Amino acid sequence: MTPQELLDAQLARLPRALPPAHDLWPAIEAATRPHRLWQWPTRLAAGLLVAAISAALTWSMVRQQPGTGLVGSLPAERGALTAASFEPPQDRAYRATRAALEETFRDRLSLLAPKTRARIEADLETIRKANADIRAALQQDPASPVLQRLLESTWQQEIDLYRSVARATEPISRRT
Amino acid sequence: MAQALQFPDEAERSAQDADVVVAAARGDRRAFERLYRRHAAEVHGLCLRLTGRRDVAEDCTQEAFIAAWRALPRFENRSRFSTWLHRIAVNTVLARRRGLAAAQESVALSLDEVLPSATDADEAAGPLDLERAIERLPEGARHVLVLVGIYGHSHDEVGEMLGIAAGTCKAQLHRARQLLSRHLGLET
Repeated sequence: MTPQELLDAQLARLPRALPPAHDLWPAIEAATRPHRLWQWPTRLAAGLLVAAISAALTWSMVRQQPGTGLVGSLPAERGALTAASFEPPQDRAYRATRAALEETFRDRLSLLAPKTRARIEADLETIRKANADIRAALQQDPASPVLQRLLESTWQQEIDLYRSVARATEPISRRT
Repeated sequence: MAQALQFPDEAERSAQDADVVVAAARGDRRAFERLYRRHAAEVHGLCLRLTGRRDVAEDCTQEAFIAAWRALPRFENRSRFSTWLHRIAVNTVLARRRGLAAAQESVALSLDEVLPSATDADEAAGPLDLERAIERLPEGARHVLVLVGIYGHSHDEVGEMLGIAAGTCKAQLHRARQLLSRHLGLET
């Protein structure tokens, strides 16, 4: 047997099958399961839609009836509202902006009429519930781009709600 | 080894795949799982040898099967299912490699953990020595040697998979064999 023939023989005897350390099927099955991909987004999207519509209605109510929707006086402007933009949550600038918005939101929320405040708090709860549901779904399906996008949309909706309240109360703030 | 090595069980396995592939292409998930069970270890072996990284190989295997599921309705039986699947795996590895080109991480291949121990004490070099020698080959030569020498694909098939001419494939194989022979002390 020549050296090349010996090499060829050795190559041919190498095992072609080298199993992975663990079964990859569950992840493949999850990624290719059609109803699963639709089940979560549909359910969550419905929740998000409810939250979005609810927030829009609240915003409309607050904007159109500032006199009846707001009570009390407003605190000083915190300044971070108009410059805020949505960033990935791990980003330090995003976290700082979000914290400032939320603080302003909390301050101004207390100035709203109880009915309006309850409606806004319900909206926020719906958005946060959707966020928690999506996070739970991502635990099962971490690679899902649909779920990742939905999660981002909940962060954006929360920010949008903070902004809506802040903008709705802004004219009153300037008058005082 | 001017031509691809012949693997006598390939035709039989291809025949066994035929009905299952048709069922899977129609959306039968159990059939697709059977294909996965039948081919996963081989696809993983291919990915492991092409990438040299166990974590990446697992990711590529997973991605390749997901891509295969999506592409199955377009599978036309012009090639064996295993060849078609290997092509998808190679594409996945090459695409991933382009994406990770900047990440110069080097993780141990860990072939010791997945390869059987040598059984023929009379061989000049055991399978682990050979695997390590293959791992050290330049990438182009390694890819061709793995696909032709170990997985039995033809030069035409490998040329198509890697996007190179069949002649280039043959030249790379010749180079790989020379380098391997030298490394293993097989040259006279």
